[in-house]
This record gives sequence, structure tokens and C-alpha cells, in this order.
Amino acid sequence: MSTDMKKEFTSQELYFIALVPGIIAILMVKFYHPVTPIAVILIWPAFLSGANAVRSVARYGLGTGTASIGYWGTAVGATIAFISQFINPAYNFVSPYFEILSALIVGAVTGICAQRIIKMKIPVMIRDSAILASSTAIIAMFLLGMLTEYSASVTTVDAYITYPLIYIATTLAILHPFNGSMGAGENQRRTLRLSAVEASMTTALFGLIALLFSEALFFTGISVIIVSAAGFVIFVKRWFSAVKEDTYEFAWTGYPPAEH
Amino acid sequence: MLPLLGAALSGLLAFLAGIFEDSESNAGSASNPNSQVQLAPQIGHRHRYFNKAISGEPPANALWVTTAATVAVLLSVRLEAMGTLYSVILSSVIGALVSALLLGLYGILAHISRIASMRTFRQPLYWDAIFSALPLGISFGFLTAFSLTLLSFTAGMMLNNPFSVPLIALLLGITIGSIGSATGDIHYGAERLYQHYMFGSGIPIAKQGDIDIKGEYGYRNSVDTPYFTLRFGAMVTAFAFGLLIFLDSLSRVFDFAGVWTSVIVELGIILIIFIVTVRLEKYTRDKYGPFMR
Repeated sequence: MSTDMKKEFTSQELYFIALVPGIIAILMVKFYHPVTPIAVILIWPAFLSGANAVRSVARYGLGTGTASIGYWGTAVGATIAFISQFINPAYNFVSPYFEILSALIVGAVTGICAQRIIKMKIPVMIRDSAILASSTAIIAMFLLGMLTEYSASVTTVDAYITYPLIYIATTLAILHPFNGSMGAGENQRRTLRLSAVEASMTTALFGLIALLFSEALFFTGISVIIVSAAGFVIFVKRWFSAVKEDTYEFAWTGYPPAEH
Repeated sequence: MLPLLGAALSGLLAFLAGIFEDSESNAGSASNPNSQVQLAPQIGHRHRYFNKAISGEPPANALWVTTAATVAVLLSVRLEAMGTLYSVILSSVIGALVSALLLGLYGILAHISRIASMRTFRQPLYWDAIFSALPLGISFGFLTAFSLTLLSFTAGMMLNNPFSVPLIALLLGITIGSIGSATGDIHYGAERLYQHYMFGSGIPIAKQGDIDIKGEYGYRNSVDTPYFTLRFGAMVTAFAFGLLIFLDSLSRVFDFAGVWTSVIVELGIILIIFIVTVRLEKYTRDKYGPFMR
């Protein structure tokens, strides 16, 4: 039996589900860093929103361009999160709203360029470019906050060594759910469940990075890894139940029947 | 003397990384050949290949190498008491292990989810097709990440590259993925998957997905592929990447114009490569002409 859903989440619904908990998670880490392991749970919807935006655009037949959309969106979102280090500390209160809104605007502008200049003819391009950039900005802001907000003397610049990993790990976690599920039988339910699996994998990786980044983040790192591992187990079970319903046949070994 | 040693070591590590990277991507049918493996069930060729659809080779390798390098840099600071050399080597091993674990997880998730999407074309999910090829891919992935992490440290510590080690690793990962995809894939895609067509005839759209699914004995699997590509495709990838890194490293050996030395040397190298490739292509086209049936 196929698991094709009657009703799918729209990009706007998923973005709203990502935006509100995402901002709460960033503020939690910013104002009371010990709650980071709980805040990690609130950041996972941002991965789902980003992955859904990739899916929404790539379903118009992009094929190998799926990866490009992932880079592109994360390049906008993560870069804006990284340049927030140049905000004067006196205006720190504008963060993270300024970055998230800026990513939304710049993402929309790149979408307009794709539509009007490159003429990609993808009707959802502007909307989903904006959502993708903003979702990845939320993720990057959170990861930077997790690594630096534990002390007033540590700024995001001190975490510059982790910028490349934040960029590429977020890119893969965003683009892979749809790319890894591509095919005639792909459906939103299984893709989003795979996205949740990869969101927990990514936050577990940054738990390890936090563990190594500073001795002050030892317990934060350990607890983020434990929470992410628990999420990973739950999400893998949910994803695999969808796989079992969607797969034609499971076999330990053998030859394809019609070919042999 | 140290920069010259660094250039030689960089070339060696890059050459080794090229062999491992191409073999890793071929053990999982990644990158360009992946499109053909993906299309095969749609035209009735149900297969036993490992469909490791993580992404294109450049971003995937960038993730493996950047993960390994970031973990290694942070860990090497903690292990500094052991001495620089030992701390770098030990932390690079642990960093590469973390990235190998990540590669394994992404590989399993990608294969299973892609096969689940092939229900319409009655493609079964063979567990042994994934679990026999996966350890091979993870091993090659570990060796790639380890080699390139050491190469990033070499570039930073011996060749005075101004970028941070994880950023060098990100750039190296993207570069090796691009070279593996452009150079190595031909010998898996065109020579192996389409070996029942005449080599050099190209792969027109009408033939896409019509891949060779049977091997020397039984059905072909993804362990057979590196066995084939290691003979030539991996070596060509290694040569291309190794030469690129070695020539680039050489620009840091000389010092005759201050900070502009490396810029002048790089421009000279690019000019020589450009002239050689244009002449080679012209000679080849004049001598052999277009493909004739």
C-alpha cells in the first residue's frame, strides 16, 4: 500500500512551524545557555522547513540541480548568519530577527533573479528560495549561539573555525532528504521523516563539536548528543515504518525475478 | 627546505586521496553514474547496485573532509601535550572516523529511501547489496578524509596557507569531488555501466538507464565496481588531483617577488596547462576526427 498523503503541508505552514520555535530556541540559548539541550529540539523543524523548500523547488524536474538549490539557499542563510558578527554589540537586540528577515529578503531576491534573469520557470521559486534561506539562517544562528553564547567574553568570531562545517553540514541536511528519496514513489511524509532523522544527526555532530570547542561546553555537548541520539532513534523508527509501507519488496539476497 | 618538503608531501597525500575518493564514489554509484542506476528500474532493469544518493561528489566530500578536519583541529589542541606531530596524526584519525560514521549513516538512509521510491517499477530492496558494499565505501571514505585532513594540516603548517585548516579542507573536499566526478566517473559510467555499447559513442538520451546489470558471474554489485575502476579511473583521478595540488604547492616554494610570487607562479602554471591542453585537443581532433559508426 502506498503512503501517498491526501494532504501535504504547505511551505508556508512548515515555515511558520520552523520560525516560531526557531526564534524561541535561539533566544533560549542566548539568554539562558544551560537549556541548550531542550532548545535543540525546537530547532529541528527548521531542517524540515528547509528540506521541504528544496523538495518544493526540485520537484519541477531539477534532477541534479537538487544539490545546487541546497547550496544556494544555505549560502544565503548561513552567510547572513555569519555576517551578524559585524553587528555593533550596542545593537545586539536586533539579533536574530534582523538576520532571519534579511535572509528572507535576500533569498527572495535570488529567487527573483532565477525567475526573471535565468528564466527557470518554477512558479514557487521566489517563495521557496526565501523560505530556504531563512530556515538555514535560523539553523546557522542557533548553532553559532550554541557554540558561543555560554560566555559574554566569547563572540561568534571565536567560532570562525566551525563556519565551514556549519555551512556544509546544514547544506547536506537540507538537500539530502529529497535527493535521497527521489523517484516516482517519493512522498512528503517519508521525505520529512528522513529530514527529521538527518536534523538529529546534524545536531548530534554539533554536540560533539561543542564538546571539543571549549571545556565550558562539556556538559552542553554531552547533553546535546544524548538528546539528538534519542531523537535519532525515534525518527529512524518513524521513517522506517514509512519505508516498509512504500517499498515494493524486501529480500536479504537474490536475483530480480523477471530478469533471472 | 620545509616548503619543498611540504609540496612533496602535499602531492603524495593528494595522489592517495584521489585513488580513495574515486573508489569510494564508485563503491556507491555516486555522482553521474548514480543517475543511470536510478533510471535503470524505470526501463525494466532491476539491479543490485548500491544507490548511494547522498548528493553530488563535491558537497558530499566537502562534508566528510570538513567534519574530519574540524574535529581534528579542535582535538589536536586538547592533545597538544603529546607533541604536534602525534596530536595531529591521532586527531586526524579520530576526525576521519567521525566522518566515516556520518558517511555510513547518510549512505544507508539514501539507498533505502531511494529504493522505496522505486515501488512503481518493482525494484526490490536487497539488504546484502547495501551491506556488502557499505563497509568498502566507508573504508575508502575514511582514507579520503584522513588523507585530506593531513593535507589540510600540511597546507596550513608547512606551506603557510593563510586560511584555517577546516576551510582548506572544505575547498579540498569540493575540489576532489569535482575532479572525481569529471575525471573518474567516465571510467565507471561510460566504460563499466555502458560496456555493451562501443566506447566513445557517447550516451544519448535513448540509451540512458540501459545499464549493464550482469557481471562476470551473476548479477553485478557495487563491490565489483572499484575492482574495475581501481585499475585506471582511480589512478587518473589521483593523477589529476595530485598534480593540481603539487603544482599549487610549488607556488609557495619560491620567493622572488614577495607576496606576488605565488600569483606570478600560478599564472605561469595556468598558461602552460592551457597551451598544452589546447594543443592536445587540437592534435586529437585532427588525428582521430569525430566518432564514426
